[in-house]
Amino acid sequence: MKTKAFLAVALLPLLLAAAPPKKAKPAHPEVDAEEACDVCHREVTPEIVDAWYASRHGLMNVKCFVCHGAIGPDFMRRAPVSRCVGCHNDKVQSLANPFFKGKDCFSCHSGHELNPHKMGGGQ
Amino acid sequence: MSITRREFLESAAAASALAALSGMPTLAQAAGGEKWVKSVCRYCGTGCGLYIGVKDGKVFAVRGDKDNHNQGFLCLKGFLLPQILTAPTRCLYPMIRKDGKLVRASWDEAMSLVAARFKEAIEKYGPDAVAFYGSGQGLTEETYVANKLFKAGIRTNNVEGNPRLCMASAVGGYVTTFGKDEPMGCYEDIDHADVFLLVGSNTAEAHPIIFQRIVRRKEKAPRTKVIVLDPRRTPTARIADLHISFKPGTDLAILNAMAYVLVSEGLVDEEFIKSHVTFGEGTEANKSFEDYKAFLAQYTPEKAAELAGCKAEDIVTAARWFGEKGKASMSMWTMGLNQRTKGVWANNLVHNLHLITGKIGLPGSTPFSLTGQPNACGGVRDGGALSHLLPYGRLIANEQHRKEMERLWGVPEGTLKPKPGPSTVEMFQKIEAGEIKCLYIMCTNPGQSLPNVGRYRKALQREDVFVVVADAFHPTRTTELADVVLPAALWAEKEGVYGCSERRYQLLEQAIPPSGEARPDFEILCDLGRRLGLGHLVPFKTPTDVWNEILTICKGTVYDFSGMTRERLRQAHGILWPAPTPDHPGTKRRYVKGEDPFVPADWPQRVKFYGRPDNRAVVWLRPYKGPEEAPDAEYPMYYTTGRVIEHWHTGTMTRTCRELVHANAEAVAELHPNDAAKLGVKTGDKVRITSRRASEVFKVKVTDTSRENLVFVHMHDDQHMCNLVTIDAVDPISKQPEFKICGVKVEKA
Repeated sequence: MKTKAFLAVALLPLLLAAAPPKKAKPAHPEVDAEEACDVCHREVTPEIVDAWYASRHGLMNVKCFVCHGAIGPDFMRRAPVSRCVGCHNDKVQSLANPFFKGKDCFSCHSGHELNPHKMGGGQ
Repeated sequence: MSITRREFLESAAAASALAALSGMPTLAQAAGGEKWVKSVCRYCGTGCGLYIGVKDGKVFAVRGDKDNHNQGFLCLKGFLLPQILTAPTRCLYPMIRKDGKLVRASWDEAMSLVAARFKEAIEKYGPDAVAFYGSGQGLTEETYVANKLFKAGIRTNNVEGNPRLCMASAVGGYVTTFGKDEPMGCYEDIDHADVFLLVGSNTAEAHPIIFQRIVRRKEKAPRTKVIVLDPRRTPTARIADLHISFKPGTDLAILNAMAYVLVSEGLVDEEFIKSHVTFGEGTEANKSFEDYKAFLAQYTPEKAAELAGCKAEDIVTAARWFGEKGKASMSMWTMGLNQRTKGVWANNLVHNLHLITGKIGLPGSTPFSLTGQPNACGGVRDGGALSHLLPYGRLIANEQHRKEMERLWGVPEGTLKPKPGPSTVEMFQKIEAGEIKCLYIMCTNPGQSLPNVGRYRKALQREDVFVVVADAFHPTRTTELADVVLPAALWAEKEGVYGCSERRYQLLEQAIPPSGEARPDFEILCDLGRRLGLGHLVPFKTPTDVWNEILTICKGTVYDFSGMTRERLRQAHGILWPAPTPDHPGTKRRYVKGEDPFVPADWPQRVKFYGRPDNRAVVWLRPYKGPEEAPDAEYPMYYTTGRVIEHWHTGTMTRTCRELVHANAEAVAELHPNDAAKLGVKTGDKVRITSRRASEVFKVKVTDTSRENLVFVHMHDDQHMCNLVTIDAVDPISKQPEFKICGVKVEKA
């Protein structure tokens, strides 16, 4: 079971990449391991884990599921801004600024580095 | 996309205006049927402010409170709080045990049974045949009602709680050194510190928002030094400029050796010592600075390093950084120091470093104990809900204090018993011995959290012991042992005050009605009081009624927060006591002239340690002593336990969150690669860990963050209980158990 789950996780980036946007909701396969995400992902997507680990989120232990939700049907490949409001509510509210029309947090804070603003304390 | 600062500001102003016109939701303003209710996180003792989002009577989100000390941030557990309210393990109706099984009952049936069994035990065996066991998770009002009901109503001092397992040694440290409990500094000191000494604290995982504030300080002032003293290279050590790994239990030697360096290299503040410090040994402050110097002579860095298995030059470096003139130094610690048979001494030794260098009572210079539970400080320590305490610094053993409380509580003189009750471990041993017949457990999980827990689980299963558990969750490893389970309202479902690590009291407002048939603990306790014929002592209709009485109890003590009216707490984002008048802003730094209202304006010096009769804090001569049960030939490895960031305490809440149940849900045994190689195990294999008390099987995680010959096990897993293995030896002063160290053998399972 664990091997199957691992393979499914290993193939996930390919599946996600192949999936047409805005059609089937990408889901993280259920895994039977009760471990931290990075246990598998350090092997299957090491560049993502490294980028996260080196980021402020990585330093502060804001782990994968905070943005991406739980594995299984609740998984979100691209985090909605509702996952940001816990800590960055004022920044999310600033998206109402017409300047940011059509954008969300990740339009600027891209990848898993999510580099903070230089201005305003870097929330 | 790139925009100029002007463009950004202009568009932000436009957005603000647009939001106002369009009615977009803000924290202060509800829209679309939503409301945002001001509250505090349910988890650790950091006490992060947050807003609870409610729509259609349900909690759908939380947001950090930007106006509170956490500046809008929450850790990952806090962010996922809404899920705990609707967990499938919520306890929704009362249950009583019939024919060995817990079955649904009405409130009246359950409470009638509880009252009858308590009355019977009191009549037959006396008031000391019943006991209360609470926690630092209960609201201040709830803990206050329980304390009053049991001590002044039932007339027993059998009142204990989880803080005995968690904070008692910190209390002992503050009281013996400064004469009064609780830290004198505040979180804001982090923003001023040049040096952090983190000892026995995995701040990054146990207090993530405090860790974040340290990181931000280090980013802002890159020359800030972080020293981490911990046998394991925890995530906290990521920001360490110096991480000292040492053999568990040898930190007393290291701390004395740091003092040796400070003294021998002239990094002390002679003037401060002359004005504010005295020296002592044992329980008497009868020593001199010269005696202290002579005492320290045996703690050269070389000798301490040899004992501790670390480098002498690292001890020297740590001391030099801490003591550098003109720099502000802040120490923080938690269970690594407290959960020890010499926990009070270890606390004293941290205070010593601040006192001999004068790095205390200044912005960024303070000895700051971090608390594990959200209201251990406010509810239990300050509220005096332990067996030797009365509210707000008063002691059971002090006749004047008893008389004062009898007057305030309106009970006849002599009502309060003069003999302190048993501490937690002693209390459960009295249950084991059949001396305590009825136990009321509120808002905590001793069936999992006690040390050597197998022994005390058996005690709770005695046929002649009647166990009542009021909890928001069922089953837990404690409710499964109960004769009656009472469904308690949880967090957002009730109102009350929490007091966090920095003396900040905050009101948690009710956001939604209780789930199912659950009731707030204070209502359940008042009901019990009425049924025991003690309703006149607990006549409260609302938590505000309780709070208003508490304000009269704290008045005139050094805690005095009588200026924190309910309405003021409703408006504020927390206030730090003392705050003796409604217009007092609260006190960031105690004992400091110009900040603490109890230091006279004309006091000639900058601080006054008024907790001590001579206004001097004590530097204690505390020799090195190892743990109660060091590894030996039969049990050759060190065993220690602790938290991971995803889970909190015994996991009854965090293990109900979808995201967290997959993340570090199973407690693992972390082993150093060399130990794993010796045992022939790899990550994912299983090991059996055996102590003199019990054995348990855990999955292995091989990691070089562990120290060789040390096995670390997570504490939150109810199916793999680390506390079957831990030792129940206690500190003779604080009575806090030595959860952090015992000897074990580890075998491949």
